[in-house]
Amino acid sequence: MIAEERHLVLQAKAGDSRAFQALTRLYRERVTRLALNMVGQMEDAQDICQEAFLRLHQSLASVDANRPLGPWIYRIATNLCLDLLRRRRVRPKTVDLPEEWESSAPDGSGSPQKQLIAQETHRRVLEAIQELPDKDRTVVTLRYLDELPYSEIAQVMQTSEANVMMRMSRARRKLQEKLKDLYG
Amino acid sequence: MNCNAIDNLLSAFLDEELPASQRRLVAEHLDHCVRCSQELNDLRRQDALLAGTLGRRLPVPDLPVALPARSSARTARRGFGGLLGKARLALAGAGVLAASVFGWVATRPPVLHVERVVGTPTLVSSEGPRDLRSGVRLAAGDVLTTEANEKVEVQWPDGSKAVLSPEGEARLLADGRGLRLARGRVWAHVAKGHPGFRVEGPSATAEVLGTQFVVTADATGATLLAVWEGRVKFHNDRGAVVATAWEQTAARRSMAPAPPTGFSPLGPGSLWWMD
Repeated sequence: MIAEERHLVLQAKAGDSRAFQALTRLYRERVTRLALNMVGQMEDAQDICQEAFLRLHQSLASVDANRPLGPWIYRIATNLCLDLLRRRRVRPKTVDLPEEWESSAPDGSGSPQKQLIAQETHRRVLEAIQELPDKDRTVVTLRYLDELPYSEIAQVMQTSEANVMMRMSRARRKLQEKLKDLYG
Repeated sequence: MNCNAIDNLLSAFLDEELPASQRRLVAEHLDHCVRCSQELNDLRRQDALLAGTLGRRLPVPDLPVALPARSSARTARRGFGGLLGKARLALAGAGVLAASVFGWVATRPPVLHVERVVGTPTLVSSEGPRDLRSGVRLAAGDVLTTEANEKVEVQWPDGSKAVLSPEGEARLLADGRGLRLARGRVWAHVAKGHPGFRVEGPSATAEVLGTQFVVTADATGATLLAVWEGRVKFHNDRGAVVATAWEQTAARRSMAPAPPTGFSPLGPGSLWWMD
């Protein structure tokens, strides 16, 4: 995958638009999910994803093909999310799940009532995440995006691993207060 | 190490991010401390919940990223500001939720109640699922669901009402200003004096000027509008039309709304919310 990504970055840097679109396909789902978990609204998440790829396109000349693209694109997306959160005067109290999520349980099974309960659980988790301080939420979101190790989260956030560890621990404690009834 | 010190390390222990020396200390402590072991078990269960939620893959359409012909950082940033700064008048993005019915700008959530039910629709609240009955007060986040032959009518303090069709599902918005329609249909009658009431669908928005209308979120992602009284502006990022009484129109993602055409208000099942 890394070799394929490196090849695509090199091709995109050379002006191959198909290679660039292939790169976006590699990361589109994760960038959109990162943004959704950060800002809680699907439409904003899609806008942020589009903008992150636009910025990638504009910065291709400075992208190092020998390094993984993930941290770069996650950092751009994370910063866009934090910019948006700062600009929002009032944080939405509800989250917008994608349509397909609204109509099915995570495993695609179960009775309609079980599916509804699963959706409610899903929504409550996302709403609890939305209430975390922005940087704590960023740490949690990146961790569960793809089980990113603390070192990569620190790289994306341009901070230390110790800071990531502290924020992760603090965020989990806060989430425990809000969500314990779902798993306790 | 005492329990307080261990407690701060449990999260990183769970993530296998502790250096070997600290990991060994935590493991030794856990061997004899019931409280910290229980704490770790709670964290494990929370971890499974978060992984199942935040790690759940999104249904993202495989569409090419729209690139400007000759982009510059300045134009792109301006574009982004426009995208994020725009009013929520159009849902252009694919995969966005089905329709939302919004009401007026309120400073605090109004108290809604169930005016009427047909059958036994279900209410799913933070307390779990239960049958819906007339007179029940509703709270933000409550989800209403109807099976075949069931309906529920919700009323706002000013007399505005919405009826959820059979085989429908709608959630009350947090600010009490309306419903988000996930499936089925909602008929809405907006009391006068509340301009700005609108229905956001997956592919277009109906903006109301005090009237009666029906918005349908169909299974293909199209948004359908039928106007019964007054005038309704129906728009998305590709265009806008105004439908008047007894006119209907439809919109799909990436396509302008269709020109309104007449419909018979007395067709079979056309007054479904009155049955």
